[in-house]
Amino acid sequence: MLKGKERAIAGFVSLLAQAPWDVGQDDVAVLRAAGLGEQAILHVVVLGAYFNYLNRVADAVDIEFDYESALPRMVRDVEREPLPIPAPRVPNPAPLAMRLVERAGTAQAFAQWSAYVMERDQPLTRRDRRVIARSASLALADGATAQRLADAVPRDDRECILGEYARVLTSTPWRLGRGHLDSLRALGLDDVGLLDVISVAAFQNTASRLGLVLTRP
Amino acid sequence: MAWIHTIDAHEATGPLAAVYARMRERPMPKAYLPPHGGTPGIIRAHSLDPKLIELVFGGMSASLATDTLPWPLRELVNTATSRINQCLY
Repeated sequence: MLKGKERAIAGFVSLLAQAPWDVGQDDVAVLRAAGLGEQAILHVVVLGAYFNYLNRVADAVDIEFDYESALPRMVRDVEREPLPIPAPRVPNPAPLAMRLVERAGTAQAFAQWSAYVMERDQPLTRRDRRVIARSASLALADGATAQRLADAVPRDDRECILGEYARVLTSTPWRLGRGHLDSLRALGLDDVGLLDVISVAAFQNTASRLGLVLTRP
Repeated sequence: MAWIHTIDAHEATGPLAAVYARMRERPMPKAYLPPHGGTPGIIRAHSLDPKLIELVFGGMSASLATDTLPWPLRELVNTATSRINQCLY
């Protein structure tokens, strides 16, 4: 059983993963009370947000687990329902009074990653990217991003399918199946395009968690 | 088999081969090296976009491998997140 610092971190990142809209100052205070300094707390938040990206890419692509592990193999509950999503709030709660720029290297890496994912014209259009990102942000109650992407409400079947994929990837990644990608293939996307859809939706899972918890610059 | 095409190191050419080589040069805990000796699956998942590999793993992952949080606690973050997301990886 985890104790002290480990218990506090595990509880915090579990909340960040499941219900990032609910992370509050009390949750941050638990980390401080466990002995984490502000830079360590920032590291927990950013790493936890980032690992939500890696998890979702792994599930969306269905890569095989190829590491050695002493842990028993986890059994998934595919019937598990996500927590109810509240109406997005603006501004975001931002319970941690720290900015990503306080980790300069990570801020630079994140900015470059964001630009690559969101500001290209192929294989997805910029509008496609905005539709996907908006859908993922709504599934995380990230009101600030949803407001910024207010023009990206799906307006045809293609955009509805892109948005729905982003919603499933965000809320129930454990339910992702080959069929979800087949729906995207039916839109004419090849594997490069599929990776782009996965990349945008999963990226927003990091970006929205950061936006909900950290103070914006 | 993955649901999209992936390219392992022995098949890689050009920019993908180059980024795979850079990834192998990174200092890495032994636990992160798959027994098969090839490219870890999570990197291979991105193999259709070598630039994305550079940004995600060379950029973000590398920037987060610092001791503001000791490695065991970083692993705890990763494991707890994966557990709650029901991600086998």
